[in-house]
Amino acid sequence: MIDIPFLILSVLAIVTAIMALESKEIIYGAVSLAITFLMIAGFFIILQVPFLAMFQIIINVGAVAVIILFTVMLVGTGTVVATARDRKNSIFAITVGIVFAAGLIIILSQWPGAIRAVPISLSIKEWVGGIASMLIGPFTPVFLTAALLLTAALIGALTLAKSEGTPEEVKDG
Amino acid sequence: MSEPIENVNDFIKKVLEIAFWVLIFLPMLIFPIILIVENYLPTKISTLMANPDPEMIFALLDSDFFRVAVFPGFTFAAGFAAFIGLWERKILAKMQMRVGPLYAGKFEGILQPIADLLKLMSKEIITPRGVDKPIFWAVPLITVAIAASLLAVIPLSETSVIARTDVGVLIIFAILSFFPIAALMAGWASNSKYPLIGALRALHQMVAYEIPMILAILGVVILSSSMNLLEIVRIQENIWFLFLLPIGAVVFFITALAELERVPFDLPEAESEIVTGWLTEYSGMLFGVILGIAVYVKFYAFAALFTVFFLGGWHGPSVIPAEIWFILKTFLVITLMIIPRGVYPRIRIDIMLRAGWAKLLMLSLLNIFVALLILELGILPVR
Repeated sequence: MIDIPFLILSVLAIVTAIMALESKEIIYGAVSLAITFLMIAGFFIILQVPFLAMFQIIINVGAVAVIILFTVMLVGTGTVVATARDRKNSIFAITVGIVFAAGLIIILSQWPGAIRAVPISLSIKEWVGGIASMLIGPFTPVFLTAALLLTAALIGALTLAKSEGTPEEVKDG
Repeated sequence: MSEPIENVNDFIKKVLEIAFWVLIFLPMLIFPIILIVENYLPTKISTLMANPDPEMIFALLDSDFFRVAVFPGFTFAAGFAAFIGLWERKILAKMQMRVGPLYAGKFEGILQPIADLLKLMSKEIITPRGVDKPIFWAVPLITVAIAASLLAVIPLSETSVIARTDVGVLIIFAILSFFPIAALMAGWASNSKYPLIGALRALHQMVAYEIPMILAILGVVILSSSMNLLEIVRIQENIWFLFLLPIGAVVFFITALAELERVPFDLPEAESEIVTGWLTEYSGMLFGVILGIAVYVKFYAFAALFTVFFLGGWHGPSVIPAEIWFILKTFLVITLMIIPRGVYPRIRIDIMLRAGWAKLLMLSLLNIFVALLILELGILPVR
């Protein structure tokens, strides 16, 4: 049973993901990455979890994509051409990707939950409550580790920005 | 239209030629589109045109398509937006002892939006040589789509609302995060100095003022214990949140001015410094689509959100229908948002950013504290 919205979303997500990796202009890559995140939010909406979909958009499109676009615009002229790839590395990457995808397909096809579609009809309070009790309950160490990691990244970024010295001249866009 | 028209014969020839091509292309293009589109409507337009039936027309008026396309949705908002443009020009003119638009239409230049629209449509669309064409042409479409998607969650009354969703506030936050991307794309694709400066200013400003705005709405969410906009309006039946959370209302108002890039926060399109900011390279109807539709639909949406969050939405004495109450309140908010443009000068960007990050953030945190205090004192029933 394949429905049309799912098909459109999957095709767009895969195409934009490939574009994000392969496009010659970095800004096209950044915009395609934002579209990929949007399509993944679409998957969440199809799965009837609008709460997660909205957070996907807020965090990944609103913060991550904006930061990437901002960096691209401040660093280069925008027409930065990706350097020629190492052929050996790309073959290795494609092999790893195919093996990983095959592994996922094999594992998921043996898992009964993947095949039967479970319609979820919970209210937002149950959803948020469930997520909150999971974060404060069994997943507290993971939650705290992620928070610590993000703080460390923030401090690292600040240190890097401080030690830059004279600010680099921004070229004309 | 290559040859100039010199006499009546030429003119008639031209008209007949145009009529010929229209007759050729109309069946080829427009009728198939109608036949495809009407499959998604509750009633078939072709059947309705053949034998009009009042019940079918009422069914069409009650459909989702009508809601999205016409009444609480896009056509209403775009018409309202055109009217806001005229109203803004009239109010600013009166504040500065001018008359404003006067000649289009019999009464006080009431047809000026239509005249502007015709003027913009007849202008040439120039695509400058160095621009990045796909992104440059996509930006007007994207800005209009983002602004219009805000309309989906705004409830005009219990019945006239497009999306009855439990995550309405989150949807607003999500849509807010798209605006800087559109501005950045426009500024980068234009391949010119002023658009890039304007886009970077827009990014700084929107990111800095998004956070106080979200925190200001958080107070409302705490008090109503729901993220559904319908629920937020329902709980304000007896007392508006404007009186319970005055700090939040002020913060939301100021941040809305900043998000809308209006005076005194119109740094991204400061005419006297950087031409028109990130809109500089757009011309003709592309400019008209961004400035006339997207910006003013966004303006209407933010005023409507202020009404929903702080002015009690559609509540009012039931002498007037609920939708009219909502529109009246929104209109009042819009007028209040226009007035600073006639009063205040543009402020410097460092002052603006410091105000956003330091003062408004503190005020919005104070607002959350007030909301928690109100919950603790039990002024509103906790559900």
